Amino acid sequence: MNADPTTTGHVEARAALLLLADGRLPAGGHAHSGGVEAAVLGGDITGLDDLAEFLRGRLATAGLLAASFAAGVCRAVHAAASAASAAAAASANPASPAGPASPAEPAHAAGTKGVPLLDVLAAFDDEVDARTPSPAQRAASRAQGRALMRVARAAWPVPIQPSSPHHCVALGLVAAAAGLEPRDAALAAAHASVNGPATAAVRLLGLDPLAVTGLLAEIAASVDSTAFEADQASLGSPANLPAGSAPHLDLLSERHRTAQVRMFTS
Amino acid sequence: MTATAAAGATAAAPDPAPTARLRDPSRTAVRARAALRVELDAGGTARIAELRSAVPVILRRTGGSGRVVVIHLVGGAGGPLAGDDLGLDITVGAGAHLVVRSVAATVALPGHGAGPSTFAVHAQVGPAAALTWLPEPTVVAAGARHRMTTEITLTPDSSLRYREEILLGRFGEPGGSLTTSLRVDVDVDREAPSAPSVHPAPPAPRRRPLLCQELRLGPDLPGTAGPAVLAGARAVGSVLVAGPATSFEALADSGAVAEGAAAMRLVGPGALVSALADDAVTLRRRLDSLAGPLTGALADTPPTPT
Repeated sequence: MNADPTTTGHVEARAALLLLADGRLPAGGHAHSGGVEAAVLGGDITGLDDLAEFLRGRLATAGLLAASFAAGVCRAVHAAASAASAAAAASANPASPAGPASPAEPAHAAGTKGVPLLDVLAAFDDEVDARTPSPAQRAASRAQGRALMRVARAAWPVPIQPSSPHHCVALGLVAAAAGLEPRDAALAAAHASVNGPATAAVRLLGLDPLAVTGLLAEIAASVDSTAFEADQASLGSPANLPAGSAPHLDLLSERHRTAQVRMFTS
Repeated sequence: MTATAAAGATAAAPDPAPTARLRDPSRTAVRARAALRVELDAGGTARIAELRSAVPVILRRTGGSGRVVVIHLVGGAGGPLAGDDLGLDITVGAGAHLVVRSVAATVALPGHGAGPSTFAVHAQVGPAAALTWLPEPTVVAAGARHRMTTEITLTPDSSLRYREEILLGRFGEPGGSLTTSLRVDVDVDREAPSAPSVHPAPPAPRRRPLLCQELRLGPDLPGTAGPAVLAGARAVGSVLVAGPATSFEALADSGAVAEGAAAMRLVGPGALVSALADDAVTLRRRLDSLAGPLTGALADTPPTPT
């Protein structure tokens, strides 16, 4: 019997990743089409081939961006947690006559270079704002971030509670709370960047769900490589994370915001 | 002109031997750094404190009066070609208004250089100063690999109008590969931070990002022509208007939409107009239709103080 604790921990964290990436997670993802509805209304997506090109472009831009920020936030939260436990261990040291201090509040825990975690997350959040010129996309991202935080509070010990962070920032925070690694957070974000829009396309165009699943399977390798690239990129500072823009996605989001009738929020 | 124009182009490396020279692709590339600094004198008139051209980045003063200086970029050679490494450093001193234009479109061409051709612009815009950057389009010829990076730092009361237009391919040809990145930060060091943040009262950072965007286009990149990125358009462009000179009242809500274009209110003090089109003329018209009402004090004809 092999009871290696690291292996055991690793196995447990796989299930949390599936839960987090599940479309049935009650975090409001079903209400967002990621630009697909506007593209369908505008005649830019009429079938499976258009959808494939849309998803590839979305993954390479918004997908890589979200995955990098999710990974970066997850990494920063883990760094703050280990800094906090190191500080707690130091204060519990018998050499300190005052006795064991209460463990540092995670909200005040220092991230990298001694900056409080909340400020570190605010820096990530500001960088996402600067990379999201479309007000409609910012609103959609924050709405999904807020919904995810609500789910996370019920499910995992989330160390801090920003009220409506960007979705990718929330994803990184929640992934860390669920015991996942930065690369897992990146994979969940990259997966969400194509899976939600693909599901929306099935509903909007009446596409064959089997064919769309086949398409997603075809793109899966790109989702993996995007998550890998994002995980590598997340070793850098928030200001240097990927910033890929998709001009037509911006136009679609803004057009959709002013649409009279819509099935999806974004 | 109060400034000197000196040819600053240098060869990339010392010359080892003629045969090596033929084999070494870096020998065909140009490296050049130009610089431009504008300040107000004691009487409140803008003067050029530094103007250093570097072939092929040639700078010429073409106009302006009062606090305004107009400079034209003159392409001193064809290209850029692959491997060329060009740059321009700009400083606009307190209260001055620098307008930079170019006489013709830049055509990025393929070449024998190892890496892509690059054009890097750094600009520092001081308190109550303004930068208006309105060059002609960059055309990315078939087979070219070009990279444009722009970093601009503003103060809370400096203004910016920045236009970027990309045309993929000369007439009738497919486009090459292009990466553009634009990053604009607002330095909040000098002023008391007023940071409205979604988070419970973190201390305001010293420097806040206003816009950070990278656009990667190319025949090899997945989905470039597809409905998420270009939607088949050959011309893509944007105009960023930022600072107190911006007429935000032109944006009724947080944005405005027109055919092939959108004006979007940023979180910081600015708005971005983004457009797609099939040709350069239509692109310019779409950008102007939405950016025009935003540009306020940074409109085409700068006001001449009396």
